[in-house]
Amino acid sequence: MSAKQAAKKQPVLEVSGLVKRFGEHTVLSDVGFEVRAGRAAVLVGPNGSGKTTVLRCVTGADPADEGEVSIGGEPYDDRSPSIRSAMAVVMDDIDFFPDLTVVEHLDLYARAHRVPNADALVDDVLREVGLFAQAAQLPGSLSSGQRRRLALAGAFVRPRRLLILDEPEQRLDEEGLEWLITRLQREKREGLAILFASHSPRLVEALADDVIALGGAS
Amino acid sequence: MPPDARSAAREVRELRGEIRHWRRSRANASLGQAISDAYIGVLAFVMLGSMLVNTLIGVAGLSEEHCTSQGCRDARGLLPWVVAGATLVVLWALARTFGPVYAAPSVAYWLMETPLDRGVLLRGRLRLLVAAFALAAAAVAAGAALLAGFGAGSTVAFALLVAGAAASGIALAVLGQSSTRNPVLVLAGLALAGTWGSLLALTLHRAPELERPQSAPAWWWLLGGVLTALAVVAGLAARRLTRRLRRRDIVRGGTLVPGLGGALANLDLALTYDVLLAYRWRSRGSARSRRGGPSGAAALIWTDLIRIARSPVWLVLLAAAVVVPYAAQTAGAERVVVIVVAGCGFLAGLPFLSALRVLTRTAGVARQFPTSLGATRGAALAVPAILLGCFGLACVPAVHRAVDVPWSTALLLALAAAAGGLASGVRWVTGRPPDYGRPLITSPAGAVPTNLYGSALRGFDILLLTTAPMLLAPSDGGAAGSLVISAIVLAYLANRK
Repeated sequence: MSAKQAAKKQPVLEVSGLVKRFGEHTVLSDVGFEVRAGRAAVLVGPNGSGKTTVLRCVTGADPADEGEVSIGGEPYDDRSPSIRSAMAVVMDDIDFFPDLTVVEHLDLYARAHRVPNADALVDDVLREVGLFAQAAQLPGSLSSGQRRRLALAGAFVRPRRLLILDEPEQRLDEEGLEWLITRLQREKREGLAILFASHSPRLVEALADDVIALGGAS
Repeated sequence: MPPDARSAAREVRELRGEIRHWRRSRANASLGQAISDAYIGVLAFVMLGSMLVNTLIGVAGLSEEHCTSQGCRDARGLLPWVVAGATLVVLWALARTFGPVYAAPSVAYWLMETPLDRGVLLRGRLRLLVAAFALAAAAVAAGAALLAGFGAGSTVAFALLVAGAAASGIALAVLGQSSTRNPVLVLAGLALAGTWGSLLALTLHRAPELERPQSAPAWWWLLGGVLTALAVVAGLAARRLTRRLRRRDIVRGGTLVPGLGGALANLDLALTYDVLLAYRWRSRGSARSRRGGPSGAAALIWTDLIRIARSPVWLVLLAAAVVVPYAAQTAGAERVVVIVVAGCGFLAGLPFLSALRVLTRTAGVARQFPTSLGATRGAALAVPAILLGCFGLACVPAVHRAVDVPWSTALLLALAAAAGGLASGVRWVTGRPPDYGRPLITSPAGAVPTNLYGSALRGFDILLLTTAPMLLAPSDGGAAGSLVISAIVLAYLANRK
């Protein structure tokens, strides 16, 4: 077995016994799954079933009441630079610096991660997400769909082994959804592990290798 | 009035009647309760107003007794004019930010779409606006005049003068509402330059000792009359113009209303800052991108330099704020100068903390960086810390003269005061919104979370905490104690999730 194949066998993300309560209400009860390199796992379920809560617990945005999360075999700690470098996350809380342009945002993220040839990579990603013409625009002047594209672009200009996306299809038009599917399929082929929550049957069908059903979803 | 105009006015009246009926039919307070509330409101206003006036007269009396140095007398003479200038700058800048004539989005998209006479709808707002701004300017000017020791007659004349200036500026702003170069911005610039120049003259001991008259000179009344007449003429011209205002001119400032209203209802001043910042940059739309720069955490520091190059006006204002501690020292403030240094650093330093604000308000941006939250926020603090350090250095002579300590101690005190200003600013921008998940307390405005009222004082609490050791002991020890407190506050706030 080659080293690459061996690495593929190792789970990039492992979640076990996850429990999350909001007061008396238990949202997550003993949730466990793993995502391996080159595979995509999708969280499905009706509104309020806990998809975003799982993602928030996995990314450390909300502390879980019980359970363990490890990234690449290392227990999750949001202070760990290796974990922060490995995990690219696009959640619902999209936000930008109001006074930096589109291209300056991507440039900043790439340079913060010390990406070599940052300029070329940023230009490529901008073209790919269809924001090249808006490179000099400030985020406040973008449409909500363009802001979603910019947030997704931010995940693609930095190093990553695990991609976590919360309903990435939101606000994207048909063309945008098509691009997203193609891009995520390529990411999978290149060995990235993907965990995402979605309500889009098309996205789930095109990408998901494993389905994690929450809240009684079938 | 021509028949068309009469009919348009009638239509608007009917529409207003409908709105009033809709509101009244949903009233949940009885007439008795409304009268009782109004009575309490008027009584509170009269009581608090008379207490304030009494306090001002008392302080003025004390100043008369103790303010004997030439610098202090100069400062007292200048006070009403400086306060009036600063008030006009704030009011005119606010007026331009909102329009000055504006309509909230709901009104703009609902009423302005109709074929009703827009002028009839907006004239009432214009009258209200001019009256409110004139009244606010008059109240502040009268307070400053009382504090300076003006007599009753000259206080009234001075208030009239400033109110006339405020009202004519607002009316001129309406006349220029559709243009990108509004004349009120020039007026605000002139008022700002005048205010700053007065403080500089005071600092350089070049300020004339202005009289603090008991009865107003004739030219005050004359100028007040001219300004009032100008306000009336410009107001009438503005009234005619309201009919021709385009919807985009009215909506532009109106879009701020829901956001600012929500933020102020929660006393969430940091959210107010977000709304204004977003509005400013959204209006601008685009900027010349600057690529390249260093890697790692330094990339975040680099973007702060891009921000300064993009908005150098904030740097100019920080530099201009240096004159305030010197003016305070000339006026006779002793160890209080350290609070003035910290306060100026706090307020003039806020525009440089916008990156920290974004990294704090949601996790979305902070998550993009490979460094820990504390290290990322620390990088966003580097440039503001350097700028406020320079500000502190520039204030060393003022502290040295005010506190009468060796240069080395003055250096420590000024730097500690600047660090206190930075810590206060960081506290202000990293403040959390009121948490309605907490236990609520009853108030006349309904149930409110316990941290609601404290949020209005956010920043000022740290200002007092960090400057207290220097006020108690303006020495190396006091400065060191203050620096330690600032460092603890900064470390805690930078790492708080």
